Amino acid sequence: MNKGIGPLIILVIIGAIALYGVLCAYIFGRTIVDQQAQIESSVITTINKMEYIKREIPAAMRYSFYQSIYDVANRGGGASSSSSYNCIPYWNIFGQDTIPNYQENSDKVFLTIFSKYLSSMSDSSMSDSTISLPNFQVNKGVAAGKLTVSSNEPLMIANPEFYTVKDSSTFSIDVSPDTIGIFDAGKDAANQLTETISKSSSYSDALSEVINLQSSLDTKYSGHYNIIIQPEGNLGNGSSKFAFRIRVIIVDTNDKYPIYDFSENKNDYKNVALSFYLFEGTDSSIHPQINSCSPINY
Amino acid sequence: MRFFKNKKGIFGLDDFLALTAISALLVLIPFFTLKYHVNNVLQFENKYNTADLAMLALISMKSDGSDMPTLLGGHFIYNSPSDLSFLKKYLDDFVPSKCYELQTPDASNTVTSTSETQTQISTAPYSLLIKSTVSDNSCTPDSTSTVNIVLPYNPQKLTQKLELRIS
Repeated sequence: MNKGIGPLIILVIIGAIALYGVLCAYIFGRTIVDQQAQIESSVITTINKMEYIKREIPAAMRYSFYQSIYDVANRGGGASSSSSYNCIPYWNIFGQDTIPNYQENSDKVFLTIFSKYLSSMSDSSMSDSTISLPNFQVNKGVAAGKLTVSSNEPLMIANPEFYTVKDSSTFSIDVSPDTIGIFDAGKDAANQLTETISKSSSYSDALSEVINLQSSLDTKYSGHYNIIIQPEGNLGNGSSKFAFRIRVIIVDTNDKYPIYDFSENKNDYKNVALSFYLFEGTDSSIHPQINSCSPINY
Repeated sequence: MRFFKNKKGIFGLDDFLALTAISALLVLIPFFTLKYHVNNVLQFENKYNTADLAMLALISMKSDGSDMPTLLGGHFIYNSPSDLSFLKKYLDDFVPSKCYELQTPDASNTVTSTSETQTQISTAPYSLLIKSTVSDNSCTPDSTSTVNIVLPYNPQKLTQKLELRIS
């Protein structure tokens, strides 16, 4: 009876070996598929994170732009880097241009705030991979009302063991051309005022020229800006030997923006307003009043 | 054939069958354990991705010309817009199970004073809580996606955590 078992046992052995082979192949095959699935899942998570960052960056740009333009305009384009009184700079002193580099100053403030936003965004549940945000440069298209940030390096999220996800690092948002162009309007008003006053022979002449210019500027910028010109009293030694300070405020009437008001320590909606002084006249022995101004700590 | 006939031998038929069974178990037990573990991980990852995708779909939406991060940021700081209940409709579309909870997780900590002059804001003044209409026991949100929504500039707080929990 036992004689018949031999071939059967051999068959069982062969079957068992074949079954092991199939199982081993299946296990290794599954392991590779499972590993792939895990990597793919991780890649999807990382792409999700990249998409999240790309959707949040325009909002961060907008808030950074509103805050930077509000603060820099409020301080006349950068009070801490020039001659100023109570954080409002002089844009012209006896015909000498002392306009701060408002373009550079507002870009610098924008990038400071924008970098803070980028750092705070990177902490989300969407990926444990590391995100590297490049150093951005700002480009403002005043006429087109475009604000663009770009970098030579891409946005990159890397998981060192598996992969690196890269994407474009150029972002643009639409901004009001009037808001972005407020400094140019200020420069135009300052130039016209200094030119007009330089032709005046007396303090009273200068005052009436300033009043005339006010209405001409009101017409020119109607619907865009409110221009407020506040001439102060004569500090000179006579009517023909005069020197006086003029405060110019240019209010962008387009829209109110969500900003943080550092003087009131609260969030608010406010118009962007550019403030600066001019110090003009014929008595150059008089010096404008100047005091120091601390920079805003963002 | 004597080898197999001798039941008292070192390697008899019973031994062979037992060895085969043990070997099969040794191979199969780790395999099924691994498969169970990997399945769990993949299910978790899949749900996680689903929550992330629903969150992404939500923050990609626009309403009245404003993008969602701007709307949410305005709500959290200025309560403008004050009513975000329209998000319920979007979430009903994005979450297949219709079981979700969208909320600001740290909303209970409102404002904490750290000194007389400095006020540290641990969360935005206005919070958000939107729950699905499904309220039976089958709806227990178990996968979560959290993002930081950018807020209008405030030196104390630039982002607000927003959490979407789905089933």
